Amino acid sequence: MELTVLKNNKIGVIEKLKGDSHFLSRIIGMGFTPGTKLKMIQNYGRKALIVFIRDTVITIERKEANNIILQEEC
Amino acid sequence: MGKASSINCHDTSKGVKRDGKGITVGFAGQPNTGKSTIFNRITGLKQHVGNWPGKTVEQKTGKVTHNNSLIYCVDLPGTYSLSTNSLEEKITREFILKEKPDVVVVVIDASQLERTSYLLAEIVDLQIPYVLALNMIDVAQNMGIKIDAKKMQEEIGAPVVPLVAAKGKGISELLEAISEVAQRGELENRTINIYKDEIDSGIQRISEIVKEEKIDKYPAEWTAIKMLEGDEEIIRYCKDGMLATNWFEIKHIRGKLADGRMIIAGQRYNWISEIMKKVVKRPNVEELSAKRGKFDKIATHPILGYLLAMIIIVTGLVVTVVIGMPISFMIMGFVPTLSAAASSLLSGMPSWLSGSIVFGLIPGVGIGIAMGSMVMAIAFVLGTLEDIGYMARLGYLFNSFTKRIGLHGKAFMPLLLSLVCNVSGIVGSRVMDSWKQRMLLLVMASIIPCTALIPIIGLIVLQFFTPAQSLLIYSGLAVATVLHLMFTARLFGATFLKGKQTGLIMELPPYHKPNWRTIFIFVEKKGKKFLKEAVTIIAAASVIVWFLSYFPGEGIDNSYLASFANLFEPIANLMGWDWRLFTSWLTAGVTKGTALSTMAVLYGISAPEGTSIMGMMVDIIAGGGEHIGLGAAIRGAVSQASALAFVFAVYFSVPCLASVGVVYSETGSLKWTLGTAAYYTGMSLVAGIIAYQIGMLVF
Repeated sequence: MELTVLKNNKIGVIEKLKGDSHFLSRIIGMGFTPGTKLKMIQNYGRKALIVFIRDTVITIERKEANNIILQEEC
Repeated sequence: MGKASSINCHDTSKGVKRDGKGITVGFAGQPNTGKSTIFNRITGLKQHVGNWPGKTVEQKTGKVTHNNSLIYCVDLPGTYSLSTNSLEEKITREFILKEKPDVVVVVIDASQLERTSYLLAEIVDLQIPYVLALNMIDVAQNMGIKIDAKKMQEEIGAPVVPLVAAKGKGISELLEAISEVAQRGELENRTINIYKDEIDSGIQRISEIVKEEKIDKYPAEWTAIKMLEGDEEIIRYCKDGMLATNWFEIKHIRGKLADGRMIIAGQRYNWISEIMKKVVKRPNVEELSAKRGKFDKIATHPILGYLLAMIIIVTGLVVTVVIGMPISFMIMGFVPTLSAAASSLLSGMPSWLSGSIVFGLIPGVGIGIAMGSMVMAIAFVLGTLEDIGYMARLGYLFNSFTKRIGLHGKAFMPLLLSLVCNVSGIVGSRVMDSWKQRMLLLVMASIIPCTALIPIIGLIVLQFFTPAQSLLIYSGLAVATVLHLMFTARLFGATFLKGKQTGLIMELPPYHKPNWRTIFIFVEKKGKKFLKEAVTIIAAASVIVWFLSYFPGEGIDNSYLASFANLFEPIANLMGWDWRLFTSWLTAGVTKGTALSTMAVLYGISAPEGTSIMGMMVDIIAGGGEHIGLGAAIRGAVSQASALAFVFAVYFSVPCLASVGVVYSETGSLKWTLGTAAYYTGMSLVAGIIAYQIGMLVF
């Protein structure tokens, strides 16, 4: 599933990252790599998402977040 | 002493003397790790703020003496990684690779160890002596994170210094570690194995080829890693002149490791988390994420967040106005008195000389100094919001608005403050995370109408139009402003600020108490830089305008300025303007008020002593402009369509000399300063011509 689908307070593990090399190296530096656990802090309407990843709170726009594919943890 | 004596490459760090003695230290770290706080603590007020050579990115340098040895410090731009995604990353990487500082201090945030250590893994790759500064150790402790610094030191093979930089704790230990590493000149433990399996063997093989090809500009292993990561710059560099068979082999290895970038990043993070497992005790993700939430839930709430933002923005506006305006007005109020005093004092001098001082230099320096107080007030408000971590929340909240003009949400506050004074947006461009966004905000800020512009435009509109027409004109100006902003974003985004733009991906840093020392240093530096650089430009331009309007004598209508305006008759004709209106428009770039006083002089309504437009402007500022009485004479000489063109052209012209001065002090680039001024001037004429055409249809 895409990151945008993850509901508030749910935890997911990144499975795959899509996008061009510019985008990839940018999000890698901010902590997004396959296998990383993240928690959705805020996912409201059409607003940018707020996630908690590697001890950091990061906001990411929906369009960008669609490139982050993850598996929800039950 | 360290290797400093062997450094003989060209000095890319102005202000840092490389005299062969002393240690050169680069401070690297991800944004929000407190890198600048450490830098400020070490160098204090003895900093030199300039630009990286040939770039419009700020460079801070400073020096300190520790144990009788001089340490030259260079604050590197905050970056998340060392790819070449942004100018900042490029600068940091180039500095470390080309200047080869004796030591790199890698600053990481102890409360966000894993992520902020990513840069450390990249610095390790560069094979340069480093010291790890473990900042905000107090915050980490409060969150229940315990770090064994000694054990960490063993693991990474370099000194680890815990710090609370905001309180100055750990600074002397850091300096001690820096001297120690610089004296040793090499790493304690060079056998750090971050990479494993096929990546490791790939790196080994490619670095062998690189060595064989005698590509020795950069460390061979690092070059190999970058090639596997798909770093275009390095690949291009190495490919040139390489044996075809070698290049083919590299290509083959890269082909096998097509996902190299991702695997390498994963292995770096794995290396970090392996170390963390050994040296860090910490609560789990659930507990940590819960600790962050409380205030932030309100600050980022879809309704409450905006309410809170409004309160904070209004408070910020009030503070800016309360601190900045009174001093500003006081100085401007003093200018006429000073001019009058100077005028009588210099009465014996030739009139061109006394005139240039009384009507050129004094008002010019006056405007400059008056603006200086505004600059410092703005720096204080924006610096505080950034320092406590709130600015990023504004960025999140307002991103959907600012996105439309190509800027991310952090630009909202500086743009809003630009309504008070354009200088705000230009100074505030500093809060933007990337160079491109910073320059774009800087360009956009001057398009926003400021408080000084509105009454002037009001005065002109009042002379020509009925209240109902005025209302339409104001709406038209508002629409045109938005269109102008959108057009400018597109234009600059496609030309001078070209490159891939990703949407907002931004850290929301943890909140902390304001660090007054950091804020004070920021304000002080901004003020000093403005007074030194911007005031010079403002005063010089002011004197030049005065000279142009005075010489060769016999009134402004006979001046060089008028002759210059005459040259542009074909353009003026497009708006139905005569040279007088064109000259008035030209002088709007000094301050918008100047356009009014020029009009008053040229249409012979009220000519004060001499023919000085600068003097008139002083009168207007002091007297509020009521006595100019631009009434009937102008109405008789200028058609409504031409007047409409004039309103639009003045509205969109360069906001004032101060804004131009501050573009210079912020960018340090004459090219950008003159380029943007020319752009506003051009766009102002375009707006005028369009307005005239519409006016011809309507009136």
